[in-house]
Amino acid sequence: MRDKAKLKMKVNGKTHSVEVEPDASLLEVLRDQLNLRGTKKGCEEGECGACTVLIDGLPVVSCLTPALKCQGLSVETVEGMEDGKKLHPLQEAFLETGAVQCGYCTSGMLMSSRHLLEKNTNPTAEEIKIGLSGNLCRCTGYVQIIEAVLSAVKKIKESEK
Amino acid sequence: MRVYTTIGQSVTKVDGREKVTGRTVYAGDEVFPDLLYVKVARSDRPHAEILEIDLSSAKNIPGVVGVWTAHDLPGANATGTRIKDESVLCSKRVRRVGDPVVLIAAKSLRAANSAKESVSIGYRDLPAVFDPEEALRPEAPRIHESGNLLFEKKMIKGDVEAALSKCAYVITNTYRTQRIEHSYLEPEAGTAYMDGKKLTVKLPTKHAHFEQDELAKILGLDRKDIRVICAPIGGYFGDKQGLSPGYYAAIVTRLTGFPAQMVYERRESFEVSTKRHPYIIQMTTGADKEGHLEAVKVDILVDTGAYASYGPSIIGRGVVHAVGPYRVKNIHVKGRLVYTNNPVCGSMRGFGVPQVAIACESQMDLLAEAVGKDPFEIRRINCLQAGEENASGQTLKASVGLTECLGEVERIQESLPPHPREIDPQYLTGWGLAIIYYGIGLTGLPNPGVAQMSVEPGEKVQLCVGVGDGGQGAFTTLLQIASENLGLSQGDFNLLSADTLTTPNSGTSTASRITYVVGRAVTEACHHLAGQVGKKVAANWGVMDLVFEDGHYHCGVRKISFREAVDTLVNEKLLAEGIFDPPTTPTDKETGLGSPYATYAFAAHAAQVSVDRETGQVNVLRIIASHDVGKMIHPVHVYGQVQGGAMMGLGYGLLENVIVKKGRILNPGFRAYLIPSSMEVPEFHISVVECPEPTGPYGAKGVGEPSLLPTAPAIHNAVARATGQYLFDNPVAMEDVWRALS
Repeated sequence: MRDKAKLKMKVNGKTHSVEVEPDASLLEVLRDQLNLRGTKKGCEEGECGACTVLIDGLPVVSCLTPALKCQGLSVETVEGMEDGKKLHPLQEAFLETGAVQCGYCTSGMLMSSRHLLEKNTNPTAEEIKIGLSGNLCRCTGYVQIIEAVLSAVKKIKESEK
Repeated sequence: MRVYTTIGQSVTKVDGREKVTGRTVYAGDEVFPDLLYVKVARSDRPHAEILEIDLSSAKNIPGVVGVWTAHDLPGANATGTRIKDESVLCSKRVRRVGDPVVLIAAKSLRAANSAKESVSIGYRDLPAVFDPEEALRPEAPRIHESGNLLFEKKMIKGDVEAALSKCAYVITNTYRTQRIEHSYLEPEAGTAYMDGKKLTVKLPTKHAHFEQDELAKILGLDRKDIRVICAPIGGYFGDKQGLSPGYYAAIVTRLTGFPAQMVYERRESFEVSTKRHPYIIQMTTGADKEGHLEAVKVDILVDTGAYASYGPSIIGRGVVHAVGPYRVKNIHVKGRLVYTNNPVCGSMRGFGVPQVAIACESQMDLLAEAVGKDPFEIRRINCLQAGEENASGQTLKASVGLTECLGEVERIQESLPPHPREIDPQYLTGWGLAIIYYGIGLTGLPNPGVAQMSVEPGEKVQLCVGVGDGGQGAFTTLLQIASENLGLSQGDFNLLSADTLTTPNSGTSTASRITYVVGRAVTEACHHLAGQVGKKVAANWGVMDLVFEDGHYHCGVRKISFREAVDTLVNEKLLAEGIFDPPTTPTDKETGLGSPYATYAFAAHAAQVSVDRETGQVNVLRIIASHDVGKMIHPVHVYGQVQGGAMMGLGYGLLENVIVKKGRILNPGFRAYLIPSSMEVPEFHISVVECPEPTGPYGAKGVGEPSLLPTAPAIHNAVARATGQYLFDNPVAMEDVWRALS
């Protein structure tokens, strides 16, 4: 048996110390050890984007990220998006515009969108397409997802007024 | 025009908040103490006899709880949607790569995977057949005892040969379509556990009650000892029914008593799940000198793979729709479904029609060119109008909005400014048009939708339906129909869905039937419930005649709302059931004629493409989509179906192809099997036509499958307009376009 390794990382602002298999992926640790199952396993080869999370603000596919790479880093998942009971403007916009159908790609889409808006507060539809090109969705045809991100931009601007 | 309070409003998706917060618990998210992880060791041969199975090293892996073969199964080892020709675990023979042989359960996923790797199966290879034409030859290896021709279906009307001999124009071509993968983002999953004495299975499924019947046989249990709960469905597109992880998890729970979970890996999902059938279609279209269709002759050969799955029903629908939404007096359509040792094909969005739509609509454009008419005109003079007879001899009485859809597409196309690529010398550009119709509900079969309701003072109204929500918004739509009927809103209801313990069997979530069939059943249930509450009101008021309108009971000046009436005048629990079985007739065995569907949805799409002169790369620049949905219950969801369907149609027409060599899939994953990404999204223009269907809830029909049908044919026609050359194979491959250009 291999020895387990100690991993200390921040997830959604809270510090966790867990013992992990040395080859465990971040996705496995989030889902199976921290019970954060909002992050989805879609393909386990980094192609679909359903498992996208942010590490120190940057989007990664957690299925291909070794958990031990996150030592001392800060991870954000869909579970950390709400502010108390209030939805994040992106979550609100996804809900309102029809960006959510089956919901399986949604967590990853939200994380990629969040990163996109942190980098670019006023993206064009074309920039949103590029920003979400690593996240597959089979239900919506992406149109209402792009509309949702544009709508979230407006919501954020209005809340800052 | 009638004003509604919720019908036609894009109300909040009832299960949306859970989904945007990551709280939705899909079948693979279930957590249990002592959970066993399930794996299946599968055949790596397309056709072979099993000589020996060595389980010794698998059994010795720490953490492994059980390793089982066919001999250990607790019940029947035969399953299938239409024909029970599949084994749960193969004992003597495998007929395709991916056939299940050994079942494994372990305390960890790692141990289960190691055990799967160490199972050793000895085979003797058998001659295999991978081509449907070869499979029909007398010397071909027999895949099943019954022979390789699984099913044949015909539709015959008039005298096609005589009519063709008199036609001014006769066009014959052969079209070939590919296998494609559903590619739902959620891989198949299932979790089973004992709830007291009841074996309970949670799995995403389009028909929980079917799974209960099938599991009862496989588990050797009485139906009442099994509960199937449809978990949230992470996309299905026609799939997710039958032998799947939930079945294997249930067997493990049956054998061990422990909770068990299985989730397919993406590769496994690609290899094992059913595909859209590849068709070889020979189509002859005959018309008079003005371009009026006189005769259509179609021969369809379909490779269904190693097992029947939904195949017979799919070819049935394909034959009925082969002539398209046109007025034709002389028809001969023959469809044959053939077993091979290829991956299994089954139900996928469009159910046998996307293939024939490509052939049919290419033929119409070729005819337009031959006659010298434009693509709109040739369709306008031939397409079905209300009161006319379709191919199967059914008179379409009402709700035929095809001419309006065509008009909408033409109007929008003419209003658009030139696309920048039209003046870029690097590209050729062109517009292509296609129209379709699609029967809503099962083909010529009874398919009742059932809804049950109950109400008692101080409690929410309970609505029970036996269907799940595949993401399209079925729950929201059904609640809108109930709300409108009773003058309530979404929050006044408690919805129970697709659970064999608590909901009725509402039939399968297929054939775009939920809104039309189950929605109408909800309306019926509401009428019965309102009637029962009305009796109490009438008794209380001492009157005979009451009117129930806008959610209120009226008698003269007296008025009380449904909710108030329940809370103040009812002192018991009232139950109501609504059933709607769309009026259809089975098609005639010899001629295939009849009235197979109670209503049809209609659509027209136009696609504008650019073709790179150097590389042959095709890009879809714009899609105009017009759909006659009867009535939009929830506009945002209708648009979501149209956009999602059109993008799936774009993938079908341009990108997707499950490549199979000697029965083996060469691209079993998203790395080499490309589905459309956000980068492929064209400019969309959508127009919804509402030609109300008298038997539908508030006039609604369906849109889930019609949405994708015209897109690929429109792309074919657009590429032909851009390049001057028709390509008869789907998808339109870059290399074929390049060859056509050079």
